[in-house]
Amino acid sequence: MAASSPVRVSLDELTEDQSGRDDQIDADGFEVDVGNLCASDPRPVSPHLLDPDGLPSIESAAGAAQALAAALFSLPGQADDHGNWIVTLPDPIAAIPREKPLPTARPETRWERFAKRKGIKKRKKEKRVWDEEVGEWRRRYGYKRVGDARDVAVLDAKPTDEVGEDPFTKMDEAKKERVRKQEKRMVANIKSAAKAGYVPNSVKLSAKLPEYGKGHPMDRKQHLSEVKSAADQAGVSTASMGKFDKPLPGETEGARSQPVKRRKPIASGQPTTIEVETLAKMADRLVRERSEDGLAVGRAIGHLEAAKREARHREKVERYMEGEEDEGGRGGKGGWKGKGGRKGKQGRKGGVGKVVAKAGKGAGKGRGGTRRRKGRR
Amino acid sequence: MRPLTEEEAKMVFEKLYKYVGKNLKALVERSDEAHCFRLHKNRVYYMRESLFRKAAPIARDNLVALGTGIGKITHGGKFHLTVGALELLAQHAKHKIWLKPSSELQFLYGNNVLKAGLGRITDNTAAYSGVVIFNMADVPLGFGVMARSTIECKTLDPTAVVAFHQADVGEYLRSEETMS
Repeated sequence: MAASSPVRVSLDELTEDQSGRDDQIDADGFEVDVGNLCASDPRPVSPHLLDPDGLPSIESAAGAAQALAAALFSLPGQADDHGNWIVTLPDPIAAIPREKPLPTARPETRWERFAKRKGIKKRKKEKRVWDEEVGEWRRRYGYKRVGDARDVAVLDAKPTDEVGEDPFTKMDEAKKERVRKQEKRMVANIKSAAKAGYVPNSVKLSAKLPEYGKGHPMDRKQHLSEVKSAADQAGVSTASMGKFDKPLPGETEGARSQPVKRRKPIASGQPTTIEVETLAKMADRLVRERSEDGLAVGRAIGHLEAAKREARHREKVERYMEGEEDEGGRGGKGGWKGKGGRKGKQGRKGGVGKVVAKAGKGAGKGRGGTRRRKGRR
Repeated sequence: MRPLTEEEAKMVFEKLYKYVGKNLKALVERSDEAHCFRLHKNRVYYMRESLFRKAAPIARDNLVALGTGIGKITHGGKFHLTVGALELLAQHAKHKIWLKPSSELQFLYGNNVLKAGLGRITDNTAAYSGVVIFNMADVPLGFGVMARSTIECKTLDPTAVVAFHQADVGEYLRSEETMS
């Protein structure tokens, strides 16, 4: 296919084109556009030819493919070294629309708007003009132009001239002022064009506009941070990426750190079931770690306390019963017996302590709790 | 829109755990349809699988919000729950507070809950634990953090703060333009 520059085509032209290609319809009635490698069936489709899904029958498609193949193989060509048949495709018939939108027009500059309003038309002027004084052709503008005031050695004095003022310097300054003003207008035009989304390829904003860098003075802080980041970058730009380099005197640890690695999302690019599983695992771990938070410690202590109190009470009752029986039997040795009883009680207390200790941490806390409670009372 | 990273997910879970406790598992492993968390423009959304599948082809700039917005990740990198999470928290809340009708409006204007407005409270609520706040008709109004434990609440004077305000449904009116 020959590459050609984009052409603007109206709808009428396009339909005209399509209608005037009878010669491209082959014997079986298929339209073949070899340049685009495209074949189609222009005949109207009758409903009974459609398949149950409402699509044209496969025969039609197969026929179109066959027609395209036939047209391709009928083209003149030649075999290459590998036995492949090489043909040159003719120019495409159907005009395919452009991929990208047409470039937008440059917005008008301020002067262009003004000129339009006033009806000022551009006139072509010759570049070179005949200079009567010198007697030769000279440029209209620029270097060695016609009637350049600077070429004049003597100026006529004007009534407005002030004493002590150099008219030549004044002229130079006026020229500089004009140039500066024009620069300002240009920047304004580029800015407004950029705002409208149009920046010509030849314009680099960074070179033209002050806020993008043109003549923009950097402040001290920016200089400092720039130097610092450059130094940090240089610090890690060694064979070991800064790993085995000696730190400079006064350098803080990790100042020339590596760029931070971006964390990947959980199970990125994997099915949702895996993501859900990962999340569930995380939730499980969190719940397990915090399982002790849910313990109502105060209540647990209360339970332990109650159990102990009950045990003590039972003991007391038992002892009382025993004592009654003993008193009934032996009589007089009550004082001694009492001591023995206390001993026995201590031993038993130890036993209770052991049982509580098995329950773990709660026991120690329980005792603390008792003490506090007693104190409060 | 993207799934959370591991750090982000941990942050979100830890915050949710404060309110729902062990029920956190029920949020992740649901019996009806797989639900996931998604991060979009620093906001965390909770949604069912079919929804984020549908939203996947929408360009990031064109997508405003999807699913239930449960919170946002701040510039400082912390996770804050927002009112959107209320329904979710209310369903699974571990600690609850019920407000008297007289103090409902107070709370809905963004004020803390005072002892005078406290109608009921779940047992064994510790200080600084997350609570969901209901009115007496069991309508969730918002959530916050307990300033005192349940036991301490009994002996407080009526003007003392019981729970700190974090979010309430009044925000839907008050800060409509900053929500998304």
